[in-house]
Amino acid sequence: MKSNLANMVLTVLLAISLLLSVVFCLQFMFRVREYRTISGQINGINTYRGGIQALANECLQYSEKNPAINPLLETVGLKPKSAVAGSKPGNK
Amino acid sequence: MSDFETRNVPTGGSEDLKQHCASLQRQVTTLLLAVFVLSGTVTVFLWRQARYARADLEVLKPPAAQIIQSFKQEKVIMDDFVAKLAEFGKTHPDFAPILNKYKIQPAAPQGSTSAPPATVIPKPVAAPAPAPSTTPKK
Repeated sequence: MKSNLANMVLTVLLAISLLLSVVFCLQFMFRVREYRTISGQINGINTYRGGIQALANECLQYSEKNPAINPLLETVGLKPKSAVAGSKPGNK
Repeated sequence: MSDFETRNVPTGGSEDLKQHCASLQRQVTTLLLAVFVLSGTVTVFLWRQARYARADLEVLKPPAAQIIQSFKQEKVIMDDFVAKLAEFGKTHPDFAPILNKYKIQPAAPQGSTSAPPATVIPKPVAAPAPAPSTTPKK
């Protein structure tokens, strides 16, 4: 009789433990998934920014060969307007 | 069926049977205890992992929200810049290699509806290209 009671108590405890395991496992999975989603977004943003930065650098290099791009670079603040004004020949 | 049951009954009588039952119950109790300990260990492990994951998430979330928010504002400017570059590329063919390198499609001519919008396929962050030598040639 005692043994039956012990078995029943242990079974209940085991069931509770298993239930908690499932709950914690699900919590862990959802949190890790959210973490990875956010990390992925940040990585994507950094990659995109890096790409744009590299493009901007190449545009700046190109502007040394072809100043026609300067107005475009000025609109986004990649080149100061004064530099363009100063580089124009014939300004007195 | 009844043959099978009679074969499994211990021959020593009811006392022996009781001993067998008690032994089996002890075994079951021991096994339940062992499984409970195992399950408890796994539960504690998972609880800690879930707690660490929550802590990591709480650390990551606020700066990530800021970064994403500021990127949303910057992206409009960056997309506009790319669109302007694509437009510029139409009139300056020598700029085409740069556009091709970044997979930027030149803007579609007016009236055309089938061409995709100018896009940049982001490249992995790379070290900026070395600046061209600025020493004037004499």
